Amino acid sequence: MKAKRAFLLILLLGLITQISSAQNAFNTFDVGLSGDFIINNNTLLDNWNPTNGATLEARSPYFRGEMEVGVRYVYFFEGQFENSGFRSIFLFIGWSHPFSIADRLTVSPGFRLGNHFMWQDNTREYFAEPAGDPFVFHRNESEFAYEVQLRAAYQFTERTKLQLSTSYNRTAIEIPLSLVYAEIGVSRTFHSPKWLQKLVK
Amino acid sequence: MTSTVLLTLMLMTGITEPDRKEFIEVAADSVESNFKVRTEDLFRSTERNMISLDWVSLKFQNRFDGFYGLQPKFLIDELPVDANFFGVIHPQFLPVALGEIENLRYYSASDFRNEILSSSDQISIESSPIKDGFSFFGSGMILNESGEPGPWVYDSDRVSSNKERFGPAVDLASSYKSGKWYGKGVFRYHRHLNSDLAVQGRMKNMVGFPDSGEFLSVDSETTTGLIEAGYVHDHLRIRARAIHADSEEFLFFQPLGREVPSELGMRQYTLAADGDINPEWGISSYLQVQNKALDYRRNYFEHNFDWSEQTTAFHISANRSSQTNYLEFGSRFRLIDTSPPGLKNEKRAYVDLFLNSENELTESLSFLSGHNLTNNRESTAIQSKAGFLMDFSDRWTTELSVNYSETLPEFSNAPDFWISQRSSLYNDFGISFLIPSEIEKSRRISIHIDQEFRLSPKFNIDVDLAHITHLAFHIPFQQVEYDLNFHTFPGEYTLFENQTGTRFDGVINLQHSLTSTFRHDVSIHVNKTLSGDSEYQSYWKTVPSFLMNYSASWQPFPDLELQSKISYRSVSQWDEFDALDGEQFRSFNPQVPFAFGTFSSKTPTPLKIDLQVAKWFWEQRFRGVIILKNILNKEDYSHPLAAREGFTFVLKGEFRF
Repeated sequence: MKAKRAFLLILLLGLITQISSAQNAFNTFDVGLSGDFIINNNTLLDNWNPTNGATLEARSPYFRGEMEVGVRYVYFFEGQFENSGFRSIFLFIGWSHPFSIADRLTVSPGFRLGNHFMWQDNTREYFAEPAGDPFVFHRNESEFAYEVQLRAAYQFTERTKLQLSTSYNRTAIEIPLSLVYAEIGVSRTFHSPKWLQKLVK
Repeated sequence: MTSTVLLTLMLMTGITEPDRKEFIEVAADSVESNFKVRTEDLFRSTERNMISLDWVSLKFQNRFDGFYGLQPKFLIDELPVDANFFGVIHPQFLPVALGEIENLRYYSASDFRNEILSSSDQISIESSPIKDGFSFFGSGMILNESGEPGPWVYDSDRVSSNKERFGPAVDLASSYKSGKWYGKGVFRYHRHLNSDLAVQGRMKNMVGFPDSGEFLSVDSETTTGLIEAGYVHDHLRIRARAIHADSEEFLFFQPLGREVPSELGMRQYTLAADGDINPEWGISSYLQVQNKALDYRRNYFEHNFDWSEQTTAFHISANRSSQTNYLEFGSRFRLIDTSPPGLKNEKRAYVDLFLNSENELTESLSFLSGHNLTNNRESTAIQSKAGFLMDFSDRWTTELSVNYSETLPEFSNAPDFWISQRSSLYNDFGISFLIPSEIEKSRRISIHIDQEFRLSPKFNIDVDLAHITHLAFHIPFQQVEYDLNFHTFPGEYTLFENQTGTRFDGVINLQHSLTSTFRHDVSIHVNKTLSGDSEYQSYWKTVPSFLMNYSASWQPFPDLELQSKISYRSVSQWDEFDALDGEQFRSFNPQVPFAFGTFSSKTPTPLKIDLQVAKWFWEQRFRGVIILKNILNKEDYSHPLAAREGFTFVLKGEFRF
């Protein structure tokens, strides 16, 4: 109960202190590219070997923080199970709120909601005994996934930032898929051309 | 709790009303089209109880007849469209794109504004006005129920079944208007794969042929198209409309106690003219030819409805409106040519005569009446209603009315009527049955009190109470037996004729706009059986006695909307499925570890919470929507045989120009 109250209080304070950024909505865009590394250890990783991944994202001031859209790609090589490699694509939309903690340093807690596409290289079939039509599972699946993220960004030129982040991603499959990522990358700020502002407003 | 938090946030943050000058309020949003992901969602806003076995087709519960009685009639832009196959509504047959709906109104059979359509409820859908020049609307969506196996599909110890898949669902609409002439077209394509654990064994076995090792696909697929051309002048409107709809389905057939793989088809052609003769008098008419058919879809039992019906209808009515009086009268002629199994070209002609009026007796008192007579050579049915509308003050209106209704058996209990006419349908399906050789009209009388309190421009309360006495009510009952592979097997089917009983039914709606950006409403539906025969009491237990829906919508900026919905439904008991109580269903394939579930003749009582965020882009040409349904992941199903619904994630995009 105390935790719930504390959460609500933090939520309230967060919103109370930030009420002005909407006027600048979509005037600028940050486009970032990061490398991703899975840093937790779980059963999934005992059976598959993920590559390092990459995340492409775009962020812009909106609604008391920054709205973001992006995509993360990771390939999981087969491990224990033959021909079980699959591509993982997390397509997301998110929101984060930057806190300035030093002259050029901001820390942004945020969340992402999205669809986690899991595209298998091969169709999995289970064969009947006695022989009959095999049971064929869906080769391509997609599931809801959410992610909470903490990102630190250091602005080392007027338009360029170095960003480091860690995020916890959970996909709602039958045996929930939970992964912790570390990311490092750069982002660059652009002034939004008129056509782009028109597109997103 | 949600509302309290939002309210607190808004008060403390001091949010002022955004500048909405550049934002066009699209009327289609007024029916909360965001939340209308599946077509059936469209009707959630009507606060009516519904059951759906496959998330697509559905049966409405009206307050007079329950789930097995008359289903609502549909009007699209005031012209009838038929989406009813043996008491199951297939809303994907309605040729209107969900995002193009301007307004939707649900009229109860007792409502004075429910014009001529005998004793059934009526849903009137109004599509968006056609703009000058060319316009286009398109929407597409994907829906995922959580719980797919993911990569664990490769691990034979951890693999689980694929989940129910709805979609793709695509709606396209375009129109062109030049001067007084317009043309428009609508195309809809919906696909649905019946793979939920609770239905997959039944479905797969129905279209499986073990001897040859063939197991056909268990998908349902519907394509619907509409073409319409019209001429609209100040006082005259002429329209020509053609609708084609085809579907491969698993049609739930209650006398059998489960679905029948079937091909459904509907063709409808309408020519309509309406206009104003002078400022007081108006006239409307249409000629409509419709053909509906249920044909064979390959299945293990070789079940085949082999059923078709052609209806030719001509309607003409006149109305007179003045400041103090309203009068409408008219007639409809219908020639219905039915070909059920074992019978051919059974032609029946009906004439409907109707009269509706509203007369202001004093400044605060009006008299309302409505009468309808349906006649064919052999029988006559009447519906009659009369009441008073009293404006006690600017803020309080009361409507008190009495309603008497008769329904012919060919409309209230259509399959049983055709069996009584010696159709072989039930014999063909192997159903043993007990049906009287002649079914009488069903009859009921009801008393209604509707109150409306307009406490302020932002706060409205509606209270709608009804006491219903069924004088003769026919209840179909299939005492199904349990079968491992097909889940049910038909037991004896009985039509309990001329049941009597009384019911109470009440709905309370509260609508409140806290600010111009935040509104919320709650509706509570309560009903209770007061007396009746044992079969009557048993039948009405299928209807949950308590239903609550709360919704809150917050639009902090014109292009951003957040919504939450909370709903609760009390238990319903289906005595027809007593034999399934506690029995197991399991995943279809023996090649993987079985997944099991348990049938129950009672439905669960989950508290469900849905959340949604919608954002407009490109000056309202594109809208992206994310919906999280049933976020607490409470297992829910509205019927013992229905697919179980858990947490579901929806992505939807709409495009219009």
